[in-house]
Amino acid sequence: MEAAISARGTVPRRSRGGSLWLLLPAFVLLAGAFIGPIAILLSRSVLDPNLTLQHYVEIFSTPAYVRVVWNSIEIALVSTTICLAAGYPTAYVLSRQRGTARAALLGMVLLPFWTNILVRVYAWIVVLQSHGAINLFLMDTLGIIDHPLKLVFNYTGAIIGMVHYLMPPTVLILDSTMRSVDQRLVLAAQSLGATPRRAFFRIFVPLTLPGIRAAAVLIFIMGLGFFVTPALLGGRQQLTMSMLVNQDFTEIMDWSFGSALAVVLLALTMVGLYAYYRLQRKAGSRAKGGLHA
Amino acid sequence: MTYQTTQASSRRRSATLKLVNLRKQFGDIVAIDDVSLDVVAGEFVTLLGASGSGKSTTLMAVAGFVEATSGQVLINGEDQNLQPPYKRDIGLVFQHYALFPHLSVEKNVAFPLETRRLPKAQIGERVKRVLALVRLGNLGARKPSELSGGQQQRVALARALVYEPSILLLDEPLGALDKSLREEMQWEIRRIQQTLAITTVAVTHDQHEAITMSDRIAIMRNGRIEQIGTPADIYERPRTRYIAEFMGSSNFLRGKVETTPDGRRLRVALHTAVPLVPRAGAIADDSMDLVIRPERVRCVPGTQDGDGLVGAISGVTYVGEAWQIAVKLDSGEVLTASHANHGEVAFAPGDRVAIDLGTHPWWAVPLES
Amino acid sequence: MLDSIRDSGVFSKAIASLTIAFLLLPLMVVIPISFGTSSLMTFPPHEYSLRWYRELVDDSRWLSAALTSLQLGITVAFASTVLATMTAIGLFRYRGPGKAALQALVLSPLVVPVIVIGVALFYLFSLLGMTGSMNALVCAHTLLTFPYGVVVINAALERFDTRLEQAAMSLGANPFGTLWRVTLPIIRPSIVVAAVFAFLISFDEVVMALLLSGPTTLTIPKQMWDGIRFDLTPVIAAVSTVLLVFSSALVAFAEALRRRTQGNTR
Repeated sequence: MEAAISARGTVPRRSRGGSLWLLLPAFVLLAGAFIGPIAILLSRSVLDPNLTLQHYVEIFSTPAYVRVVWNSIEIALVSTTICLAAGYPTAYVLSRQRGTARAALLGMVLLPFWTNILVRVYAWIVVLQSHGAINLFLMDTLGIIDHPLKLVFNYTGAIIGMVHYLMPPTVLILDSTMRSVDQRLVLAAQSLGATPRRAFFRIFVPLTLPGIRAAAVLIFIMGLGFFVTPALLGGRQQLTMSMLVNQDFTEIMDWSFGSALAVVLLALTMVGLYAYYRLQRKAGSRAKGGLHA
Repeated sequence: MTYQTTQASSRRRSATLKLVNLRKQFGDIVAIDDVSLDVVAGEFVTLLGASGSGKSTTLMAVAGFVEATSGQVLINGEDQNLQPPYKRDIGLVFQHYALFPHLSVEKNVAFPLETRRLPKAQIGERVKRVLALVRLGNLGARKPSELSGGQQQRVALARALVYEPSILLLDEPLGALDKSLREEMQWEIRRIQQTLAITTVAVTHDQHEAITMSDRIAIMRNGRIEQIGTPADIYERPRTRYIAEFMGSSNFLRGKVETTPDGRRLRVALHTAVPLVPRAGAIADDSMDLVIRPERVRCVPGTQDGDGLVGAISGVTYVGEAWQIAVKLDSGEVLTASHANHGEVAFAPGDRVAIDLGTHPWWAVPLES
Repeated sequence: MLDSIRDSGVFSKAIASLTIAFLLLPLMVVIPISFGTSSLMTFPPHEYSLRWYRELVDDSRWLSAALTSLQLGITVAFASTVLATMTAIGLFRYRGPGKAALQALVLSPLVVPVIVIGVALFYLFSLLGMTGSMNALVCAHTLLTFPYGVVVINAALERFDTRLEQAAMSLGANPFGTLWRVTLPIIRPSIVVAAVFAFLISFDEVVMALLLSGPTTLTIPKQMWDGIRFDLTPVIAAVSTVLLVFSSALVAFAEALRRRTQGNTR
């Protein structure tokens, strides 16, 4: 207890309450520009002009809209799966590096992060289009195909774009989890006769499972709200909820319906977050709460 | 390197500190339990105790970082209750120095003067003087990370002294230093404190440090002061067995009290009567533990007769500056004697010896309840 | 002992290499395209020229969009960082009930889909008659970026030794003086990082730009969006290359600055 006192220090009562005023501007901003407007959104989705649930009914009963909702979920799921599959080995390699090698590798993973999303989208269009790099390579250099593959402005394009965007965060989250695994456990397994491969699959991977679950849910939630990438790379057919919301507000001008859609998207995100919260609780002491994102 | 002090500035510098029935509770835990202390101007008092004894909490209460549940802290008779730490006239040296890593030594030391808006010329001059006092004159431009532990400690001390506070507070000042450095710094700190005649309260768990540096020592245990006195008072006349054991090592011989016209005696071992110092223990005790410091145990090559404290040597250990000789008395108890190392020792395990207690009175402590 | 830990296996390394190649190659393709001549954006280009850069410079819309984005970014960086610093310190010091809930609240803009926040703000600013104004965009971007700043600065605060604050107070500095002369200088690297984050996020932000910008507040992302949808030429490649260089330089600068001031605080 004495150590606790000298380490953290107790601030005299007079200034402990004083720290609250520092939080005031943030709360004003959050209340006015975040909670408030979302409340308006919520209200506009059910008041049109009288209290009604017609928009929600329409969303869930019209096949076209249900398909949009399902499409959003599906491409988010597929992207998350691919990210985890490719991201896990990548994160593993990254987590084993130290010093300059690690810095270099980290830099390469993070470079897309620093890059404007539209630059990335544009880059993919250039690469994937019918006379783009990949097709030209396959047609002219390798001569495997005669007609260009349709790789962009469709489902494939949307998935490629989303995976490209979601991969760096996946790798970072998994890397962080992996580095917190006590390496001595793997060594202990080997000392007990397990081959490195067996130790990896029976000891290391299960220990990273909470991190995998957390990453999966977080990446999925991110992908669910995606708008720019499927809009530009997915072509007209790949409609996601957020694209539809955008259309409702900027082109079709059906604000009430758009609000309802936005609320559905928000609700789905909340469900995902709740799942994340429960998973973290189940993982117990592994989870670091508060501001460690 | 002289630091001029005038009578007037000594008076201004050294204040009296008084703790009156100080009490601090954290929920159910009582950290400070009715502590009262009177520190005279210019005095060096050490709060000595194990961790959890409440000594650091008490120091922090004086500094203002811990708010007392009840009781008072008086500096020069003024109640400090409403004063936040930055308004109290104290200088605090932290256990790990807490030097500002982003400032040079000079800027660290200048910090309190700049806060008090002294003119730049004056600041420069006073920083130079105090760095000379702690013998760091030429290291002003360095950053704390470029200094050794001992040097950092001096900077911390300089910084706490440069604005001439009334009270100097030291929180385990030597805890982070190597042993050899510790001894050197003990003398240094004491020298500086006496030069400035500044009232000082130090906190430590190291009894050797306390004995070397203090005018008085207050032993703390479980949030209470068990005994206050000069180092000699506490070492020679500890009030309880705990204190006797805390202040260096000790042997204890249990015996029955006998009252005679010349004073009280303790009958120990089988039938040896040892005169007691009159003040030892309470009047009504009928059993007490005789306090025998190892360095006071004189082993005399043995006689065979069973008169007095006799026994056989059970072990001889070399510890550098002394030989530690374990003697198993015929009556069953084991005493450890510490003979200063004058070369070879004349004893070997198995030898018969007698313990010479002399004719002077001895101190005893009540039985622990 | 360490070799068996370090080695990650051929399979993992292969996947990792492919993944990294996947992440980087498209960006690398953009640069040569911007120096090509054909408007078909073929790769590799047959001829090289600065044609697209000249078109970029001649087009006043891109220039004004760049100025708008810069102005917006700098304003947002400032507002967001001040807000994030205050909030991080306030949260760090607060020891009352509901601290976890407050932290969750501060972080919530990060988890809500941007489009939802976007349309909600669209309503707000329509009601206030502020759509298309710079203030609306500043407000929206600050909301999006300050939680990142809070996370970064909070991490620095956790590493910060609070005994230094006690020391300052014992030396006579009041709480404000302590904050200004001891705490802030020491956590400065994280504040710089927060500011650069905020700037970059604002500079690259698309969704709010689409919903809230007006004729006078066209940002680079908005221009690019329109370009990609309606007018796809290698000018976009030129813009992309410039942006790549610009953000990389900014990140490198921030990292260098962070490392330099980090050396001061150990």
